Amino acid sequence: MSLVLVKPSLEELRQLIGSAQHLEREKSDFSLFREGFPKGSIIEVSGFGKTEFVSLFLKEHPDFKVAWIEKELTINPYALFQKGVRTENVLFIEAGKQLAWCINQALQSGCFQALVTNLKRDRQTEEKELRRYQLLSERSGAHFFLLSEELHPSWVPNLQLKVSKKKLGFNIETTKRRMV
Amino acid sequence: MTVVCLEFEQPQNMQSLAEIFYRATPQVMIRGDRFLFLDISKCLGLYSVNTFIKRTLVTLRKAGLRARVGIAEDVPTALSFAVLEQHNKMELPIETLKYYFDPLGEQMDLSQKVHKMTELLKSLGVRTLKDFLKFSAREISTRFSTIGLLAYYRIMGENPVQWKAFKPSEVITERHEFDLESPVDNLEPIYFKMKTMIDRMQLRLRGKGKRARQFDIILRQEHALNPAEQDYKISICLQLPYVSSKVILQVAKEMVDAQVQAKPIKHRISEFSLLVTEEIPYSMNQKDLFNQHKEENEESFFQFVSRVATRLGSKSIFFARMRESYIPENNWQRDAEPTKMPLPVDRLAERPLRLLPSPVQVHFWGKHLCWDDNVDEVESLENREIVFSEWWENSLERVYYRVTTKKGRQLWLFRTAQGDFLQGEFD
Repeated sequence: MSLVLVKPSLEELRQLIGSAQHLEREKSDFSLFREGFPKGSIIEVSGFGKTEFVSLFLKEHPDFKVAWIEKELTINPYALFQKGVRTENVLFIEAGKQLAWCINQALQSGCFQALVTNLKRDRQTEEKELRRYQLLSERSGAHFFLLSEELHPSWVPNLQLKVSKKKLGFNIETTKRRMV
Repeated sequence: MTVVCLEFEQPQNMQSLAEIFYRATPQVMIRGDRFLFLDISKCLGLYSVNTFIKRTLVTLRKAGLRARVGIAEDVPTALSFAVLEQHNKMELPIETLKYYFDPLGEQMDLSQKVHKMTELLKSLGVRTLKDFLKFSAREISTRFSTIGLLAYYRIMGENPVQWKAFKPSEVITERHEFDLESPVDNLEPIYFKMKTMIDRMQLRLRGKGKRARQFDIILRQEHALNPAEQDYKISICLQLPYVSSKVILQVAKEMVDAQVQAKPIKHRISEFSLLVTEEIPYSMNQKDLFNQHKEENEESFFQFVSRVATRLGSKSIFFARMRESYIPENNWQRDAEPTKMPLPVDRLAERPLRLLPSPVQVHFWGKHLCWDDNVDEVESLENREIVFSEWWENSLERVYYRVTTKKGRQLWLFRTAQGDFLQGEFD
């Protein structure tokens, strides 16, 4: 009988290490997600209704200073105001080509409790960059919300959620959980 | 009257120094390039003389200056006190007559006559002002004519100096010239000087009750062949108030470094200046002694905002101020600072969280909806809302409706005479 050695890829190993590590982090409560969101972590949200999902979290934490950074701003501040978000505490940045620099600066400043962005993810650069954002958000204790069109397999995000809006509430599927 | 005279050790740009002290009193006068007079008698309800002197010394230290201070009831006596560091008017030497005759240094052509008069008085044994006042006014006028009489009356406290209205400069500029024999070929000497210049710029603006929103750093290159290349300009944008000069310096240094890296300076620098291009009102902020941490946080927040605004432009970083309007694109506007105005009452139907920068025309093809490179099948149409523009604007009528697609997207479209347009998405 021959023995077949299955070699896992580096990415798979990283994911396994991540899921084995259990470090309790301080969490911010959220009525739609009972476990709450861990501070200093990357939370990737996708699906139709993702922006509303995040805005409802911000509504529940009116004291949070928020940086809303996008390459080209498409967020409608008035709709955020309608959702009950305290817009005086939200700083909007239209970063253009300097998106990565802006996110770095915002996280390094340590002034924000939450940062929302919609990075267009590119397989080549994303891992390193995301890892940097993750370390920076860990250091500043900020929630880093990444709004994606689709969830990509990556070991960096601490939490990956696929949401879909229903008539009453949201359908939330947790596709990945690491060190949460 | 309480007059303070500041005598500077080195010749200075007195206009800029007068602007710094304009905050303390509007009654400011200058003598040559070393003396500054401030009438603070009308402001003693706001501060005492002692407080004023302490503040003045701190301000001068910030601006990197040293000065001698004289305080008296009139301009010439304050000037004499500052020059001679004495505090007894009657014990002042007779040489100070020149200050009483011409305290603002405007009649230097008559200084020879005053000198002669002083020498004559000294030969007669008149050593101090007290001795001088022993003469009667008639004796003085017959022997020394109007020059002596004017000085005599001023010592007596009559015929005071007329204060002229001081006008601060419209444009604030701080300039520094490097030694022409050794112009600068790296940025270090510029940064070394920049701190004091930023401090001075801030103090001058505060004198006018303003602060800088935007300023240019202009580096003059020594042998630039093309006149357009001679001035190397870097714009710094300070989006939020209460930014300390330390933070401004950091932001400026970062910006200069980045720009020089991208476009190196070709020639040596002979001169550099700061030019304030946009001023806005300065509002004082009381120091919170019980929560120093908050102040530190605010400082780093302001630093972050200024740094981003300098790199991306002031319009790219903002707070949103809500406005009452039925037109979705006019519902809010970009503001540099968080609004202190009350929020409007929301009377509108639900607006989408995502708005496109400009509406995109869509086409219906059976049950299918097409726009740009997207095709989706329409599942339902709902929520009709008719929006009109304000009566004073161009007439506009849009019928808004929400489209739910088979993929689950909720799009926000409007219909006009020109067709259907996609404006946003309920994401």
